[in-house]
Amino acid sequence: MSAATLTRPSAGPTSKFIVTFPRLLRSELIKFLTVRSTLWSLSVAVVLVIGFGAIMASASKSQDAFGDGVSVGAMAPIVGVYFAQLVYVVLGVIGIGSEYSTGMIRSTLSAAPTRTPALLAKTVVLGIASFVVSFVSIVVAFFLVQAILSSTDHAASLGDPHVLRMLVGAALYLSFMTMFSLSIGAIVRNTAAGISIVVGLLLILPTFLPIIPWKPLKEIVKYLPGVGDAVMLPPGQSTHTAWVGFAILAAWTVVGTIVAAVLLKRRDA
Amino acid sequence: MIEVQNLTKRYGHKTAVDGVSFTVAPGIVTGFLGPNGAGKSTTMRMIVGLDRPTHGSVTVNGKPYAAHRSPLTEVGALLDAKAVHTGRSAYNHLRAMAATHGIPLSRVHEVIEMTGLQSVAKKRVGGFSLGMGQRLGIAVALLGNPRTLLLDEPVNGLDPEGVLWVRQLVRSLASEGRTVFLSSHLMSEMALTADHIVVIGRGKILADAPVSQILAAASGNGVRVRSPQATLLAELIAPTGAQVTSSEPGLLYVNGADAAAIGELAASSGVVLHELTPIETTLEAAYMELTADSVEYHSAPTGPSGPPAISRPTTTLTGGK
Repeated sequence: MSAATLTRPSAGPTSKFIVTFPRLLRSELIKFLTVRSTLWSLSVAVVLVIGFGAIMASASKSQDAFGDGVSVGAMAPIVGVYFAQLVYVVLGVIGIGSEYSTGMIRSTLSAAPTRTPALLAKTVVLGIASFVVSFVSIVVAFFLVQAILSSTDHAASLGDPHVLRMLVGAALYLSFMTMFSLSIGAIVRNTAAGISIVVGLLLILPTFLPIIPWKPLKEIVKYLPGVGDAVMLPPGQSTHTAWVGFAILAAWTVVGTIVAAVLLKRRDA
Repeated sequence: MIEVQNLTKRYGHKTAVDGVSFTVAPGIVTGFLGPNGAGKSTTMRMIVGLDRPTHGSVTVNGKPYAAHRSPLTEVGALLDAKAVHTGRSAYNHLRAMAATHGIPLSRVHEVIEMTGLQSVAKKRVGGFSLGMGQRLGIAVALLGNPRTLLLDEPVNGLDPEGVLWVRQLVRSLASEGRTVFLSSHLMSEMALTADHIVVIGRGKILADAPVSQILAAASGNGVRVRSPQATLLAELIAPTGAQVTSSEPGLLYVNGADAAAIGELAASSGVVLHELTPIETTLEAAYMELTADSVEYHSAPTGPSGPPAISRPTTTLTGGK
């Protein structure tokens, strides 16, 4: 190692090196892109969306798989989202959970001791990255599905009613699901617990709560975060209208992020 | 400059840091010593805002750490070299840290070179040895060219070349006017590196003084004298106020008078001296004395006990800068 000494200006702070939100965003983007598992997970998610879209389209060529009025060409690309969402959930939780499990969080909070901006920067980066990747994969799935269905009369086009909203809505759904998972991960500071909680809210509660014949539980099920999928479904396929369902998921995300930020600020690193 | 005022940290019933106050001055190397569990790491974590104090305050260059707009240029901290994502390369970790402050890539390359990480910079941190991980931690601490350095066990796992490098680096940084605060259990290194020592035990400050003063006040200092007229010499020394002990005939151990004074006293009274040896205590012995009552985790003794019994000071040392 060299014994090079550092020269320092004797007067004046190095004030150009201050922490700003854009710089935190850049740091979070570097963190996001420099861990192999992140890029692998996104690849898996992309394959799930495109793959299941293709499978649904091929299987439904001769039949009206989704019932009256719901075009196969519009729905098939969305099917893969229900599988891919699990990958995005894991991505969101791991985004902060891995910082706690490796101790990286102490480095992050040393660089950004006001803490809240670091959490928000991570949320924004994950939210935008998941939106972009999922939107591209859904659009690719859409065109692949239409190609598979081109010989039938089940194909859809972008101009069909609701189709554009469903595609954008699916990307929004996945993006907010990622950010919501991040907030849960930040609250429990543990990857396994975070994933269990989100999967519980998303898959287990909606499946098992309705079995219990108690009316309040049936109401609760209507307000779980998973009802956000209304934004990617044709009208009438969900208990809520598209944007009401999305607003519920958005509310879960916002509340989760606020709670995470408050706890982050208050607790020891 | 780090100012700690009445800092307290409680975890439930346990008080890890108990009303601690001290100042770490710029331009010198200040060592932070204490037994395991004494509260060293907790205190250092509170300095950089990772832990919230229960009471009291700590400021760095006049402001709490979190109030600085450029924290990494104010304080470079190595508290836990393992605070890195194992799946990321050292280079990318440094890039991510540098990006938060807009520190340029050239600086990242500079610290990689300074810490000797060039050959492993692009490798995953998970595969690093203890020493390489430690060098990465030092690289991160130096990234912002900080005015203050906070190092918790910086030479842990380093080879002798690395230990020497850290000692030289730390001394040269202090001589540039920076504040250097480092903790270590390696007494011999600390004695060579530090100018000022703060000793903590069971959450309380036991000593806060220049190294020379801590060594001088320890009881291990003295003069060993062998003389056929030992008893006579002891009687001659007694009025000067120095303590004289004798463990065998003809051997005296004098505490509180220097060798020259004893020699002159012997000569003026015609006492023959066979040996006149100044004994200097080590920082290790002085530290053991200070913290004898404060050790949390005692090891079981093995074999015959080591150092001879030493008297404990009855007052706490605090000294000037």
